[in-house]
Amino acid sequence: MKKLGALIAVLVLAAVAAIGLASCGGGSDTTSGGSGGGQKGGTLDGTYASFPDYLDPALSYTAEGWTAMADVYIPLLTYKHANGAEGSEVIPGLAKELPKISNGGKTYTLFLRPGLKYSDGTPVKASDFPFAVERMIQLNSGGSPFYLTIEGAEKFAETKKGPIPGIKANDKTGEIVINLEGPRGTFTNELGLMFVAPLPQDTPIEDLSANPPPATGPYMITKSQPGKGWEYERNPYWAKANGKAMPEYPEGVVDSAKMTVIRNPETQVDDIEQGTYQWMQNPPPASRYQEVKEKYEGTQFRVEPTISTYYFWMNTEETPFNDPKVRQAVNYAVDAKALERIYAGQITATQQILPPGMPGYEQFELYPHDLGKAEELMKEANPSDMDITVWTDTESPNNEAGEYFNEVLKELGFNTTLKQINADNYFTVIGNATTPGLDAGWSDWFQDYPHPNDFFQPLLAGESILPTNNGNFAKFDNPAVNKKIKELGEEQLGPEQEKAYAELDKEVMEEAPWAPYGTRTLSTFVSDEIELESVIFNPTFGHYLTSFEFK
Amino acid sequence: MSTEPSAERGPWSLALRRFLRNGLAVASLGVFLAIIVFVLAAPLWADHVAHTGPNEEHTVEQITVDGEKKDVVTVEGKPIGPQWFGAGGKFFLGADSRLGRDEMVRLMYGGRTSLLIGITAALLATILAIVLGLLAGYFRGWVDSVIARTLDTIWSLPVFLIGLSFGIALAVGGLDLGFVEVSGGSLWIPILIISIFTVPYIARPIRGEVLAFSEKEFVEAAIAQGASPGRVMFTEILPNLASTVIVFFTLMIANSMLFEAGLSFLGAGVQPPNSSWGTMISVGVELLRIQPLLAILPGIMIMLTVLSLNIVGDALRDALDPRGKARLDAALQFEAQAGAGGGAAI
Repeated sequence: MKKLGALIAVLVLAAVAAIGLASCGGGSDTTSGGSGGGQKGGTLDGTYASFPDYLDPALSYTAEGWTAMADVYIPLLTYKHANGAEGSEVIPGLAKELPKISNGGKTYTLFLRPGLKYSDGTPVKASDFPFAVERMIQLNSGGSPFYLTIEGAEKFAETKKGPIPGIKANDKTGEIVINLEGPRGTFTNELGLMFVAPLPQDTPIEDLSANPPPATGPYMITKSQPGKGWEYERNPYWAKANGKAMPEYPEGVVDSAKMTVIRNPETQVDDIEQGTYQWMQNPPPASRYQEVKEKYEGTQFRVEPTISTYYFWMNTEETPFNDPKVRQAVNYAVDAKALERIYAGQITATQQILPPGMPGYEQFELYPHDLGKAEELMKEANPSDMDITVWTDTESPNNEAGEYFNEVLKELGFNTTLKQINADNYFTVIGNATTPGLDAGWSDWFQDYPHPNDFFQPLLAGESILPTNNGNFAKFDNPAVNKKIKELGEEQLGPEQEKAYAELDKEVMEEAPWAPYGTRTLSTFVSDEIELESVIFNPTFGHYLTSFEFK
Repeated sequence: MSTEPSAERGPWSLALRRFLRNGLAVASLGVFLAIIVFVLAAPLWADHVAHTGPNEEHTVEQITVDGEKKDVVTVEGKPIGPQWFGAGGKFFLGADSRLGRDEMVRLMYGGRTSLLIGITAALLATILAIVLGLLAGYFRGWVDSVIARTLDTIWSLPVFLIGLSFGIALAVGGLDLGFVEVSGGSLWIPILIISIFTVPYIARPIRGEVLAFSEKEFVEAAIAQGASPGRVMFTEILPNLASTVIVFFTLMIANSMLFEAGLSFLGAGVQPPNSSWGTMISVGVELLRIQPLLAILPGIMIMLTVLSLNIVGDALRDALDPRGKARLDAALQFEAQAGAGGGAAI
C-alpha cells in the first residue's frame, strides 16, 4: 500500500501541476478619456495574452504591437489621444504641423520640431526619417507597401541600396520633403503609422524586438523578453526635451509599467479581479465575457466598438480556391450566426470587406447561409484537388472559429488538415510564402487609419503580396481591382470616392477571396485601482499607456 | 494453499496464480478492460445513441429535451450541460465547447486516441529498448559505451520540454525523413516523440539484465556450441527477459498516456479537431466555471487508466518475479527495523 500511497501522492502532485500549467496559459485588442484626477506615479502591471508580433516599430503590424509601442515611438504625424471618431484625427507628432501638400498631391513637406532627443540622448534629426523608411523596407516590413509610391522606393525595395531619391531631409532646417510617384489620398494617414517613426541612424537593420531601439515618446522600453513580457520607464529626455517641444502630447501619469504575457485569459480575468494585475489588453475570454460585463460594466469594464473585419481567407492562386465558384460556395456555407455564438456575442455578423463605421460602408448580403447552394456550386466547380490545409491561431475564440471553418470545408467535401499556430507567431508563419500548404485560414483586420483604402490596399491589392510579412493572405491579384484600388487611393476621400469604395467592396466580394463573418467589439477591463474614465482606447493604436492612472 | 506441487506447474501458470491472488490487481485489470470496452463502443454510441460524430458541430442547432427545445449553444456562447437520457442520449454529457460537439462521443473517441498513442508509443519504446539493451549488454565494449551514453544523454534531457518543442515544431511542418513523411496533424508525431524519449526507462534495466544473463552457464554453453551472437541474444537471452519486458510495457502504457495528455494539454500532442483526453482537458479548462465536468471527466478517465495500469504493472512484477518481491520486502523490513531502532537508514 505504500506504493499505492506514493502513486496517489504523485497523481495529486500531477493534478496540482496541471492546474499550475493551466494558469500559465493566451492576446488581442481594445478607446476615450482624459485625466481623471487620480494619483500620479506608480507602476502599471498589465497583461497581454500573447507577445506582440514584434517590439520593433518598423515591423509590428498587429494591434498588440501598436498598443505596446504607441507612447514609445512617435511618427512625424500621429493620432489624437482620444476615444472613438475623435481618435481618428491625424495630428502633428514629431513634425511641427500637418504636411503641406503641393504639386498636385505628389509632394509632402514637413518640418521636424526642434530640440527633440531620443531616450539615449541622441538628437533627433530630419534625416532619421528617410533612414526609418529605408530600414523598414530593408526589413521587408508588412508596412512597406504603404510607402512604395515614394519616388525611387520601389527600386530601393528591389535592390535594397539607397538612398531613396524621393525623400529629401535637411538636418539644419528640419525640413523633410517627400515626393511621390503619383498622388496618394491616404499618405497623410500613413505618415501617422509607427512603421516610419524616426529612429537613430545607427539602429541595426534587424528585428530589435528583444532590444527595442531608443524612444521618442514619454515612455521607453527598458527590458524585453520575447514570449514573456516587457517593461517601460519614463523616457528621461521627455521631461528635458521632447515634452517641451510637443506640449500638447500627454506625458503620462504612471512612472513605469510592466507587461506580462499570460496565455490563459481566464487567469487574466482572475488576476484583474484580485488586483494582481491592473489591466488586460485583450478582452475577457468568451466563457467569462458576459459575467465580466454584467458585474463590472461602468466601473471597471467598458465595451469598445472597433472598425474591424473578421474573415476566412482562401488562396486564390492555387487549386481548389483559384475557382471563384469554390470560394462562393464557401461563403454560402459559412454561417455567421454560428460564429456569433462562438465569439459569445462579441462579433456582429457581416459579409463584406468594409466594416460598419468605415467611410464607404454600404450593407449588402451576397451569400446568405445556404448549404444547398454551396453544395450545388461545389458540384459545378468540381475541383481537382480537395486536399487542403486550414490555418488558425491558438487564441480563443479564434481557434474555435478556425475549427468551425475546418468543419465547414469538410462538409463541402474537402480533405482538411487543421493547423493551429501559437498566436505570437501566427501572422509571421502565414505571411511567409515559404510556409507550405497556405490554402485557407482565419484572419482579422483592424483599421490602420479611418480610410477604406486601408481594407483594400494592404489586404487585397496584387502589389501587397510579399514573400515575408505578407498581408494579402488570399493572394488576390485581380488587375481590374488593382487598378481601382490604385486610382481611388490617389484621390482625397469624399462622397464620390465613398460610393466608389462601396462598389469596390461588392465587386471584390463577388470574386469572394474571403468569407468575412463579423466585426468585433473589444473591451477595456481594469482593476478597481484604475480610473476607468481616464483610459483611452484609440481606434488605431488601442489603449494608450499615457492614459492609465491610479485612483 | 496449493493442492498440487508447484514443480508440476510452469512459471507462467504460477505467475497467473500469484496475480489472481492479488484482489486489487484483479479489480484494476477489470477497470482497465472496462475502459477498453467503453472506448471500443464509441462508434456504436455515436451512430445509434448520439447520432453524431466526434468532430461534428451543432453550434446553432436545438435539441428537444423532455418536450422542450433547447439551444446546444446559447447566443451568449454557453454550451449545453449534461442531458443524460433527456434527449434520447444526445448530449448525454452535454456539449464540449461553443462548437457544440457531443462531449460523450468525444470522450469515447478521445479515449481511443489516448489509448492508441499510449499503447503504440509503449510498444515502439519497448521494441527499441529491447534491441538496444541486448546489443549493449551482450557486446559490451564500445557498443555498450555508445548506447549507454546515448541513453544517459536522453535521460538527462528535460524530456517534457523537449517533447513540447518538438511537438509544436512538428505540428506545423510535419516530419520529412526522405524515406518517410509524416504530416503535422498525424498521431505518429506524438507517438514518435513519446517513444523516443521514453526508451531509456526500459533500455537501461534491460541492459542490466542482459549483462547478468551473459554470465550464465546456458549462454556460455550456447556460445561454446557455436551459436551466432544474434541467435544467443534472441533465442537464449530474450525469452528470459519476458517478465521484465511485460512489467515495463504495462507501466510504459500508463507513462505514455500521461505524457500524451501533457503534450496535448499544451497543444503539442493530438491536433484539433481530433480529441484525446489531454486535448479535452485543455478545451474544458476554459469553461471550468460554467461546465466543470468538461475538464473533470477526461481527467478522471486518465486517472483511472493510469492508476489501474500501474497497479496491474506492479502486480505483474510481483507475480513474475517473486524473488524480487521477497528482496523488496526484506529491504523494507530491514529499513523499518533500522528506523524503529533509531539507526541510520542504509
